Amino acid sequence: MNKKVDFPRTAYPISNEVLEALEQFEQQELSWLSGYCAGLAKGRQNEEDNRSTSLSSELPALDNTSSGASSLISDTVATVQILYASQTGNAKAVAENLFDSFKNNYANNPRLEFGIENTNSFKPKSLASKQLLILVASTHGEGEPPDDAIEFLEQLKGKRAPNLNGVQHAVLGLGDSSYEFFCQTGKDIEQQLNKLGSTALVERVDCDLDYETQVEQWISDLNEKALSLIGNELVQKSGASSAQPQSVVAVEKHVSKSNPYTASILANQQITASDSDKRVHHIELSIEDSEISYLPGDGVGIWAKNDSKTVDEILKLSGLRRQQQVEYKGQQFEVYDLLLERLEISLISKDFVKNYYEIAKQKAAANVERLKDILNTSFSDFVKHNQVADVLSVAPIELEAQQLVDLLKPIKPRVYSIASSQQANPDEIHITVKLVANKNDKTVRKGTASRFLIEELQEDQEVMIYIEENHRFRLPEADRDILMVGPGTGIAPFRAFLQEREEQNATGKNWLFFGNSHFNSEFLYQLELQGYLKSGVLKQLSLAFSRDQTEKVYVQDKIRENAASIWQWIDQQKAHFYVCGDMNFMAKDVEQTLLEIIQSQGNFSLEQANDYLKELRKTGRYQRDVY
Amino acid sequence: MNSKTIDKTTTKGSADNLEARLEQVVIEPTKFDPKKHTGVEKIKVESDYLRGTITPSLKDPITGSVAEDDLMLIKFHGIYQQDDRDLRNERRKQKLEPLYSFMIRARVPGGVATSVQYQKMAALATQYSSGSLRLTTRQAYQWHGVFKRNLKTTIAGINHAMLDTIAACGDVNRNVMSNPLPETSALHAEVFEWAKKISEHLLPKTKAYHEIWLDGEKVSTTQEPIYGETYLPRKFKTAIAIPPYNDVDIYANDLGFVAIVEDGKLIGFNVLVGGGMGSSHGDSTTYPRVADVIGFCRLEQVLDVAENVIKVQRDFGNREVRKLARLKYTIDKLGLEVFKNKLFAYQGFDLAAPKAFEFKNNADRYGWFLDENNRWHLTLYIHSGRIIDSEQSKLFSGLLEIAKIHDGEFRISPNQNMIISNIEYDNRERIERLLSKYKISIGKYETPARLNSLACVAFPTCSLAMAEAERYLPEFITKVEGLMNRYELSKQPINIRMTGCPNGCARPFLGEIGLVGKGPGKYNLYLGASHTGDRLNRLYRENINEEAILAELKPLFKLYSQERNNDEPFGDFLIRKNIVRKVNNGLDFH
Repeated sequence: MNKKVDFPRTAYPISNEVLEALEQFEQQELSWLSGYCAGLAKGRQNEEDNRSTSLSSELPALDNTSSGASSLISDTVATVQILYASQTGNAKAVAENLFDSFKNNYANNPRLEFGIENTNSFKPKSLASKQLLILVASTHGEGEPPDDAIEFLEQLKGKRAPNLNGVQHAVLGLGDSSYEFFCQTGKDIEQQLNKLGSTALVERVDCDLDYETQVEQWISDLNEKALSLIGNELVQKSGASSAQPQSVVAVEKHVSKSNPYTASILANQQITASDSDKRVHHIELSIEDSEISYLPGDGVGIWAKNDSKTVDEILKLSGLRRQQQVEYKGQQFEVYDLLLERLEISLISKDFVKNYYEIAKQKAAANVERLKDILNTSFSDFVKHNQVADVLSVAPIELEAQQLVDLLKPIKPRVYSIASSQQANPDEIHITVKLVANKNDKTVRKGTASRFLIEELQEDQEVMIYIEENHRFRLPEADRDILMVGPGTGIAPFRAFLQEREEQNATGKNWLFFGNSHFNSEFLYQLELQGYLKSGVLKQLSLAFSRDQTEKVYVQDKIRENAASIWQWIDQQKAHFYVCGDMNFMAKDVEQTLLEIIQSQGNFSLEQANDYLKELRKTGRYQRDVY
Repeated sequence: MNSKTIDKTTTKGSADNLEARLEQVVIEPTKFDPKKHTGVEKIKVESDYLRGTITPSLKDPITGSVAEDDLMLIKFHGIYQQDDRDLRNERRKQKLEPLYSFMIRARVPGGVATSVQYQKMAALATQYSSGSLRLTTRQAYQWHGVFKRNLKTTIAGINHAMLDTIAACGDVNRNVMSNPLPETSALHAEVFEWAKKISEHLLPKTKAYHEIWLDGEKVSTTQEPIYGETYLPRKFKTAIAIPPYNDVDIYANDLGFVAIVEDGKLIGFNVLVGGGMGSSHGDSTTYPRVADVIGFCRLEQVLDVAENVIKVQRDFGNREVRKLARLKYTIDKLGLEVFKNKLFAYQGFDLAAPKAFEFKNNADRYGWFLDENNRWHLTLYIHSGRIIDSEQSKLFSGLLEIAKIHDGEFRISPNQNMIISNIEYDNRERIERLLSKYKISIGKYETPARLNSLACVAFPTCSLAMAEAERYLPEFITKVEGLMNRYELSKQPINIRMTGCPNGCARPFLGEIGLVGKGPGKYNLYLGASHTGDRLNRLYRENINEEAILAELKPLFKLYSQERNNDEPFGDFLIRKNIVRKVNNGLDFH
């Protein structure tokens, strides 16, 4: 998966001779040289006309060392603005990849200017002055935009939206096709851009969970098309080769989604009491001999294996044997192995049901119309409780092994919020995992990763992981107060926050809201939190155990109870407010409660309160990690 | 058998030298001495008459426990904090605190509750505790496993049933015991009234209880006329016995009253002081002790005697070493004569010479029983006092059904059995049917050894337990029965008592066979107590397991079956045969 990319040297703004000379340097020498060159470049840049691009200030201006570079400058300068709206960091990573590829290809092209920014910090008004707008946006839950894009989208829809006649755009959406409103944010953004007069430079791309190939293609397309903005001239300094611009910037040793690290399990401990009907595990992974580094707020991606029992169930339903040979990505496999490790068999996409329906219909399978019903009427509900095997069992047919494999999507990793601080645990990553188990008509279906982690992995066994950075969920300066709302396993990143704040001897106060069903059995990390209260790391701990009394009490009720103090923290002390956990109910209710508090405590109208919250979000003082 | 010799010197002081004698003792209520007294004393004195921080502790949502100082104070309110010891280690790994819960003990003088009260207590057990009730060896009801968040509601519910939990534990006079089975109903009723009166008279007067548990108005407590702000140095137990039955184990109490009847009329009580079971392993300064008879008081003197025994203990009890603080040590330290003189000075009158009395045994009489007023009473056999539904017997459900049709009382025997009392003639059959439906025993089929056995709670809830007791005793008895059967001793009522620690809740030092937990599966074996509860046993073998215990008992049973005299109890036999040296009293125990 992790291929090393050889960049065509023709794409570099530097001669072959210089490049060859560079080959002879040792690594240390190169490192030193990079700094030296940077300094040299900075000095020269000061002498230059201030023809600033966001790009040129970041790159050593090697082109200036050769004479005549400026003679190639034409009058047309095209401005490309890359914008991303990211919740977990994937959209940001794609946008940065694109930006890096532009840098590689056009660093010394004075007629192309590049900028990259988060939609959150970008003013839509200035969109009109760009020639190309590139948007990468993720979608959450039932078609909701990431926090970063909420205001951006509202402004695009608002009365003061800019006129974008003559502007071109390219939109890439990230999403999950098992949800009904797949890539909705990307679609919404493009629709709005079209309304404002912009036209598509390339067709919008809607990416599913396995987006690498599509993204690579898109980046490559855009690199080519970008030239059309300045009249399709190749203005590279050395040579006139028409080699394809390259897109992906890969560093081989860097641990990534496609180049995961094999971590061993140090501890795998249930942390709900045995009489709880929730099974939550605290899992500690060793990253001792890796170069992995992470920050509180980051997630860890887990490549899990499927349940062999479910694999056998699928094979049986399709009339297949484990050993049947199939081809996948140019290699031969036994179908069992593929299903166990490489293919997604729990999440159902609409495509999968559609395609399976077609095949089953051809074979005149009994009950096949039920599949159509599911597609047309109850899909979003159906996917909550059912998995691939359940779709097959609706109308079982005998499949060719290859047919089955072709129907399925590649397995995707599952990301968990990291529950530890690397400062406190240099060689470890901790996660808090709840076993996902959904009952359907016939059986209980378990989540891929949670089952693998909780029921299969023992201490000393191994699991493939990588870090998913989350720049939208970060601790503030050490003297800033923070409010954390993390019921259930939503407590995970806050455990990391508290560990980090303790290590930092942070002076900012910490207030945690935690909740679960039962005090006795589901008070996650109770002993640790009691310790933090005792040592003062936690200033306050507000608890809501919903089922210990007749009336149900949730974290949002505890937030409401503390309205005045919370307002004091937010408005006077400029505290940061964090929410982690369930998106569909908890996070919505918490946000609603927060709005009420802003309204009532700040004596604001609803609109003013909304603006206040927007401002909090924009300044990073309201951050969410919800799923 | 009245084996107590009566001390002739105790009694009469002439009127002439009364004042002179009174002047010899200056009554000065004890004062807290922060340099010498224990931490517990400090907690009591600083508690604002037992309030402490109980209210904030109850509200603290972070922990299922109460604050450390409150652990001591809640006992005065009838509550012990416990935790499930089976789960301790597991929960530590789960990053959870121990599973804290509370044992609540209701103060039920003489163990008598009405049918309606019983139903309310059972309902509370279903709703807030582990679905079971436990009858104690001191005639109280206990709820186990009540979580902190339900504590206040449960206690309010108990009070709603016109019972309370105040002073059921703690360093005060606790539940007053009295013989539960009314062979002579008029006499019994009269004695029972005295149990209630003594209990009420000796209650703490603090308003803390109402304030904390019943949302009573906050009224500051200015004084405790009997106890003072230091309360007693240690727990204090009182019982009343009606000869010839010593089922209350009168000799194991700090203060005992033995009912004296002349011409069918209750004329007063013999007074006993200084009994107690608790001791510590490996510490010979601690020991069990049987109470001494110190005289006779007339009815009108009873409350004065009780109050002043308490006051002497309040002022002369050891507040520096808690395990030497019970009245029994105070008496042995002062000497019985000095103690009696002080008591005389405190109460201002002398006790009369004790009257003769005789006990037959300290066991229960199982099954149906008709009293002199033609009212029926039924004693049920309840293993270790645990009223719970199990596979063998749906005791909890069955008793509740009986309560619904029964308009008399439920009486707890000091041997942890239940007596359904004052049953109407017509109700007998219905109750019989319920007994068989819910498989409830009336002691027809158990051996006397099993019926006479006692065990304390021990694991998993008691924090003091070193070995199993209640959970293990039935199985152990089965093995002992095997041995006894072999030597044709099945009809012999040998008292077997087992506790998880030497604190003595099941009065193990009065067992003809006493087993006191030393470690997991290991017990000290004690032999040679009397069958009437007036002589302690003696350590026979130390720290042995089941196999060794049975191996020790086997030859003794064999000998007993071959060489015992008519009706000679097992404990007495071992003494006569010089197998065990007789224990005269506490100081002679080790």
